[in-house]
Amino acid sequence: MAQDFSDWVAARGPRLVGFGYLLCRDRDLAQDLAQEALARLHLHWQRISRGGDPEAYARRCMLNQLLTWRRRRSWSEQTMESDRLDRVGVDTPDHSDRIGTHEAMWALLGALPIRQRAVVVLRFYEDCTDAEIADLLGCRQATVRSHASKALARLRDQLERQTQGAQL
Amino acid sequence: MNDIDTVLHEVLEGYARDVTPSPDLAARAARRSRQIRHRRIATASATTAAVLGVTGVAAASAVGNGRPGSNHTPGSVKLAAPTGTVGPRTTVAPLPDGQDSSADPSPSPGFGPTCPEGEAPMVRAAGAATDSGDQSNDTAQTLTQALMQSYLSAISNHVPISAYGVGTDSASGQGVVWIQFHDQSTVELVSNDSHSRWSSYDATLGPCVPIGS
Repeated sequence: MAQDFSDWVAARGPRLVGFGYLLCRDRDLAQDLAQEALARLHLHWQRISRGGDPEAYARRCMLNQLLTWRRRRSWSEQTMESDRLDRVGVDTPDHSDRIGTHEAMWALLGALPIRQRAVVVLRFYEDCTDAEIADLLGCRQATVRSHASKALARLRDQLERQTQGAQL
Repeated sequence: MNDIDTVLHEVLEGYARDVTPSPDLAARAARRSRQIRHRRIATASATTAAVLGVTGVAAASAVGNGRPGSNHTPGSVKLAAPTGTVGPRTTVAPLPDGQDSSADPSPSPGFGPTCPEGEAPMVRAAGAATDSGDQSNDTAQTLTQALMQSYLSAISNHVPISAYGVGTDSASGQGVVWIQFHDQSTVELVSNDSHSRWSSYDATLGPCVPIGS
């Protein structure tokens, strides 16, 4: 028996909107991404809810939609300049180190190219395997590993630089 | 798990939790879904009416194709090229996105190649099949008509079509059906041996070549 669409959205919707927000970093756009993906899912709900993976389908729709919107609208994210990156998380004397690190990491994630960010979000938020990520992004697993490696190296490097800067 | 992995988990979970979905997300998605479905029906209806004008595309003859990226079994077929006086191109009016394409059936010269009599555009497919589905095998319809109806009723992401016609596949030399959408994307439709299923491929249109060459 297929699960009711509304029930499924009530249970999984927050996670999908959160996923969208981590990708695009815009609350309104995240809602739009989720709504559009859920509309596509609703079209094929009877089939997908019985034998498929609705959440994977929705995630794939959101990724495709985001990449399509970016191409069509030339939507460019605010890439932080290196000097701003160096200051992120450092000028927070009233916060604990932990909160400062989290804020810094969030800012650094925003500076990653979209595909690298998508790989990081899928791996560390959705706990997807490289094979699953490759399938979602339509690329090879080697490409996924390359994106992940570059992203993590950049995050680690920037975070260390900020930590060292804060200690000086 | 090393430190950066832990931090990433915590950061992503934390920031994602801060976003609250709209309380009527399911209802909005369902409404949007109905809009999409309505658009598909409108598109298919307009195409069906326009396809009735294509009468010269004969049923396919069994010919294998060796086009790279094709996932057909050997012996699969493509539509035969049109014969007689039927032109290689028929146009459905291109309208701005969001407008019902069935509202204005007047031809427009703005889309698709215009080929001389007896010629059709070269169609070059790229990559593997993008979609496939069951094909209506109604003998009362031409193969082209059934093929396009089946395809257009299955797709959900394309904008209304702006033009379609027959062409010559660049790899196999066989006649094929191509459809061009408002966003200028083009697909090629291929039918299998028994005309029971179709597959579509992303494609580009090339110069006009004599039909059957």
